[in-house]
Order: sequence, then structure tokens, then C-alpha cells
Amino acid sequence: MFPLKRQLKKTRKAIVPSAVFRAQLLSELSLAYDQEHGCPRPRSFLFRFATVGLTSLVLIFTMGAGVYAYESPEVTEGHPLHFMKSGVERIQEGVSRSPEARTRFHARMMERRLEEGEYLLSHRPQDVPPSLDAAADQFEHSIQALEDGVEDAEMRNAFIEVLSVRRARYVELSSRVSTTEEESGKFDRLRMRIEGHELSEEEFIHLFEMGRRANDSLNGR
Amino acid sequence: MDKRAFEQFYKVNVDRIYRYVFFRVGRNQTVTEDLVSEIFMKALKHFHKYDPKISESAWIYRISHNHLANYFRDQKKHVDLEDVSFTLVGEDGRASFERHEEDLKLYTALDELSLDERRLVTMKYLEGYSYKEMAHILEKTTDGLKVATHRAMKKLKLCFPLKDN
Repeated sequence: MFPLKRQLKKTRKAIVPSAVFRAQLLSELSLAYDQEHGCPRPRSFLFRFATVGLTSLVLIFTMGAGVYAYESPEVTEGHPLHFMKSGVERIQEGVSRSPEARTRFHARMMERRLEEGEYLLSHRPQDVPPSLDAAADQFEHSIQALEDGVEDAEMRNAFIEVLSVRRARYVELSSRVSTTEEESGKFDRLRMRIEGHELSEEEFIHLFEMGRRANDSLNGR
Repeated sequence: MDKRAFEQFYKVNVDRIYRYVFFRVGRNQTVTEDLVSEIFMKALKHFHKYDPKISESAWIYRISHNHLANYFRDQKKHVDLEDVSFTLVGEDGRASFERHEEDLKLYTALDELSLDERRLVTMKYLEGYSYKEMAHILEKTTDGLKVATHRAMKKLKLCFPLKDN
């Protein structure tokens, strides 16, 4: 059947109107259309210039706002540009498929939530706990991604090192937030979540050791 | 009526309509081009009447069919438009097609098929319609057309003297 189909296809491809004929007929049809419905008046140069200029401005402003929203720790929940930030982060999350990429992504997100927490501490201290909670969630996700399949021991250690520094920053920031029963409860919850995962005992000791050292160095000890 | 919509419509259908006409006017390129131009002019004139619920292909196919019927009536020729007679010797087309021996073999083999079988193979494999579009045009079910076309192809394979066959 295939040689026959191939021959039919060949024949079909051979029978096509020439490019000149196609173009000529299209222009004749276009002319006929214009004669019947009237040719649309061309826009003035000024109008086109203004449209292009305005569109470019909007585009540049949108891109600039997007970059600012993504990079700035000042853009937090309730900020008019927050939707841009969360949108970009969602896209980033969507493209991070491999366990390595997911671990890297969530570690980065944890850092961003901590940076936002730092900013909020001096501006809206009451909003720091949700930010800390989000950072704890990101920590949990990165540990989960690490468990899911980062096989390479060297890479695993590197991630654990990064995460332990983040954890130390988390602890340090938590300690600066006015200590209430609720907040200390949040830290306990983080500890319980960490312990609920299936990292080896050795890796846990490593993680907490590194966290302690990073914490000490942050405190200048 | 939207000019762009018509241009799009033209681009999608021009090749098929060209093939449809080409095989029915003895593979004469000049006549085909004239008729295709007239068909699309007619389509442009009536595009506002076109009902989007009907398949675009079925609509232009019907215009082409009626236009060809008028053309042959004016020529005082009695031609069954459903019958694509492939062994008809082309007028201007002869030079370009007789070079391709395989093409001629194919036309001869197609001529061995019944009128309905030839029509199905032509629509599907030479004019390039999908089964869904064919179902709209021929007012038959897609599944029925698939079976019938497959049978026609099997028969055509027996008549088509390719080395591989």
C-alpha cells in the first residue's frame, strides 16, 4: 500500500497552482473586495507613530515592572505587583522538572521569602510570621525534592550545605521576631516537618551541624 | 465581511479547488486557472452568505461543482462531474505529465475503479480532504467513508503495477 500512497502523494504535490497564479489571484480578490467594500483608509503617520510609541512604552514599563517585582523583596503579599512576582515564580516552578532543579528552585524561594521577611521586619513586623512560614514550606519542599532523587552524593552534600545556611538564617530571623508562643510554635512545627522526612541519620546530623555552624558564624561566634 | 477571513479561506482551499478543477477539465492548466479564478470571485461575492455551521470545504466544493456544471453546459458538453476520467488526455497538461510514467500508470489504474471508488480516492489522496470534510461534502458518515476508501485503495493497489506491489 505504501508505494501506492507515495505515488498518490507525489502526484498530489505535483498538481498545485503556480506561486505566480496564487499571488495574482489573491491580489485580484483583494482588489475586488476593496472595490465592493471600500478600501480602508490608511492611518496617518502621526497616529501610527503614537500607537507604536505607546505600545513600546507599555511593553517597556510592563517588563520593567516585572523585573522589579521579581527581584525586589519589597514586593510581598498585598503589593500591587505581587501578582507578577507570583506569576513568574509559578512559571519557574513549572519548568523545574528534575529533582535537582526542584531542590534548587525551592532553596532559592526559601531565600527570597527570608529576604522578604527581613524587609517586613523593619516595615510591617506583623507580616513576618507568614513569610517565615512560607520559607519553612519552601525548606520542606526542597528536602522533599532532595529525597525524591538527587542521587549524586556530592550534589546532595552541596544542597544540604546551602539548605543548612538557609535554615540558620531562618532561625536567626525567627529569633529577631518578637517571641510569642505562637511563633515559637511555628519553629517547632518546622523541626517536626524536617524530622518527618526520610533523610539518613547521618545526613540529618550533617544538616543540623552545618546549620549550627552557620548560625554561630551569623551571630559572630 | 472580514477581508482577512476570506484571505485565510482562500489560502486553505485554493490548492484543493485547483486539483478538483484540474482533473475535470482534462488537466488543462490554462482552463483550470481561469475557472479557479472565477470560482473564488464567486465565493468572494457570496462569502457574507456563507454559514459557518457548514464546513468551509463543503461550501466551496459546492460552488466549484456548480460553476463547472455551468462551464460544461456553456461548452455544450455533457460531462458527469462526479466522474474524474483519468485517461482523458490532457491538452496543455500533456507535456508536463507524460514525462512521469508513474503518473500515467496511476491514472490508468484509477480508471479501473468504479465511479464512487475513484471519487473517494481522488478526494482523499489527490485533492487532500480529510474524512470529516468528505463526510460533510458527500453527506455520509466518517466511518463509512473510511471503510469505503480503504477498500477502494486495496482495489487500486491491485491495478497499480508498481515494482513493490
